[in-house]
Amino acid sequence: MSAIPLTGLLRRNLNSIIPITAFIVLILGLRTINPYFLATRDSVVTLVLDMSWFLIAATGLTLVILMGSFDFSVPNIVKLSAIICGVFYEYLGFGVIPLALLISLIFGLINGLLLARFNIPSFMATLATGIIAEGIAQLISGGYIRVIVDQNFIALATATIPPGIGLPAIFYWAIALWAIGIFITLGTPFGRKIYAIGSNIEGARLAGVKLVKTRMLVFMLCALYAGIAGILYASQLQGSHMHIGTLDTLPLFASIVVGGTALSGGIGGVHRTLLGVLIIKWLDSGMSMVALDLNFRMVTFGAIALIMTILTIDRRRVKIIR
Amino acid sequence: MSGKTTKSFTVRSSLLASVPRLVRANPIIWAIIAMIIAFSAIEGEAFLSTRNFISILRGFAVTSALALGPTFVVLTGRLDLSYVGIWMFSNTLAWLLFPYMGYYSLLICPVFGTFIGFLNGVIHAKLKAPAFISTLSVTAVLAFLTTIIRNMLGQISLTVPPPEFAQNWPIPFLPLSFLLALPAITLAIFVMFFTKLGTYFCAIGSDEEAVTHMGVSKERYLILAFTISGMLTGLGSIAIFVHLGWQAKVLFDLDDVVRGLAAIVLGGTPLSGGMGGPQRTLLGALAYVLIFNGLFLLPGIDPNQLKLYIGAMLFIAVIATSKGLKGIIMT
Repeated sequence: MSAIPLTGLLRRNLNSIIPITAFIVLILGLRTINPYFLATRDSVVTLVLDMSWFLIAATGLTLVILMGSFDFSVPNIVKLSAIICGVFYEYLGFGVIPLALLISLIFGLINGLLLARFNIPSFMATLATGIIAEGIAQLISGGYIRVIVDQNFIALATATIPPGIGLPAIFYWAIALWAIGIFITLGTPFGRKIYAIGSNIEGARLAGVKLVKTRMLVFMLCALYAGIAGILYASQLQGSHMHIGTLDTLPLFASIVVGGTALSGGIGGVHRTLLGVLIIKWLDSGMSMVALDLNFRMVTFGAIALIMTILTIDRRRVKIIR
Repeated sequence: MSGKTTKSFTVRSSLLASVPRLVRANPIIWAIIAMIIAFSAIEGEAFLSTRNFISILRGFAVTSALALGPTFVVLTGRLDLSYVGIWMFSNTLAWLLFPYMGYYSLLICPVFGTFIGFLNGVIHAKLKAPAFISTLSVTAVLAFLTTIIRNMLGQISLTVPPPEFAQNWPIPFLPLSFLLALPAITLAIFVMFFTKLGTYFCAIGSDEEAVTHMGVSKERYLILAFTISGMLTGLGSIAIFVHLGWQAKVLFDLDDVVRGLAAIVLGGTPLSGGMGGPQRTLLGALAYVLIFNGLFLLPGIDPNQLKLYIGAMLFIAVIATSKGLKGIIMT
């Protein structure tokens, strides 16, 4: 008798069970491969530096995916924002931060407009804007690596807090922005609207959610997160180059679906993304530890993205899937 | 007697009338004519040279080989991004089989493409995964597997020695890669205009719900669209194999994905589906190659700007072709 409710329980909580199991298996596996994993401060700092900007960008993208849309331009906005910092820092100083954020916001606004006003599917609109963002980045940087030498700017991401023994500042930035993301989605009426749009867009419209305004705001928020990720990443790298974010679309997406947020929208949330980012990034470092061919990275992430998309999607609710 | 003349007259007049109709139906023709005039006026010698003509033909063959297949999926309102993966991996398979089968090994390309296309169709139609992300994942897996195979075998490039006739190619103005793209082009046009499939794909793209209510099995035609897409890409990838100097491409480049999409959108098949078709994609591929070659020959153009132009072009094309989507709210 008890078997039937148990399987039902398993199936209903598949979105939570898969990431948590994967996480535990991953930790055990990595500890077996490398006993120093998470055991020394250096290993923790390395992981944190690898993950933080990624978590910020993933948080922004999660907001969009929760709404049932997609944003291909996130890695390109991260790249553009980092390149703006790298190229213009010598002229503007800290003025690059508002500039980068402003340009990111403009891209978010365009994405939102294309989706909400022009009714163009978001994954297509953002594909086009993403290429434009990359084109601008290529144009202003000329494809060169830019170095920032000002210690004040570098300290933005790399200053250890508390000094000497703690973690780099970018970790606190990432956690704070992630927490803000959780607050927005779970603690505000605006977050309820995001979930409502993701669950049933027609119903949300009939319930009085202003679709155009809300969706534009979410895309702008997502681009803002990407912009912040780019600034902090430039600070962490002490400069910028054209390879930032290239090929990061799939890992970003994979980390979100692995966390348990479904691509169909309305299921999951920002709070799950941390676990997904941990899984993807630790898997990444695990593959480097056993010295696998770097190209296995993309094969694995592609396979994970494919499998998790199929597993997490809620087929009963979505009528038309494109 | 009189009936006969009338008939021949109507035939001639409808032929004459079909030219403006063709132009009206495919506005990109104006852009192509304008570009040819503009580039000939600015660059003259270089643009009208035989070398550039052959280069345009080869570029056209490659771009249409990439873009023809996914056009059928785009017609249904989905996006198929698996073409880069199919192309790279099927060419690698052909290279792997070459020692055993000789040049017949190239025939594995359409077979493999059909298989992956069918798989894509099942994943999308039966398992209900959004096509743009599932096919992107397929591309990631296949393309990077290609690089892994290359690395494991310790090769730098996966090259096949060109056959005798290709080394001294006898036909002056028609490169081999262009001729090899013709089967895919013919097949695409055949599927679109001589079978009912094109109509069904357009119907699914313009109103899915209505199609389902009319008793058409949506799943079946979606799987068919993806399968045809994979098959055409596989068939076309033979031409790209030859174009690259009888070798498989081993390093993934996001620009290849953009290239296929750009040809589709520029040609006038809206990414939201419902209208257009391979005939427009062919024009789009021609326009894309003309823009690329024309800009490249311009003196003093910064190669860094090219990407921005392509992005802007795609952007404008996406917006320009997106009208007529009233009624459903896109996500």
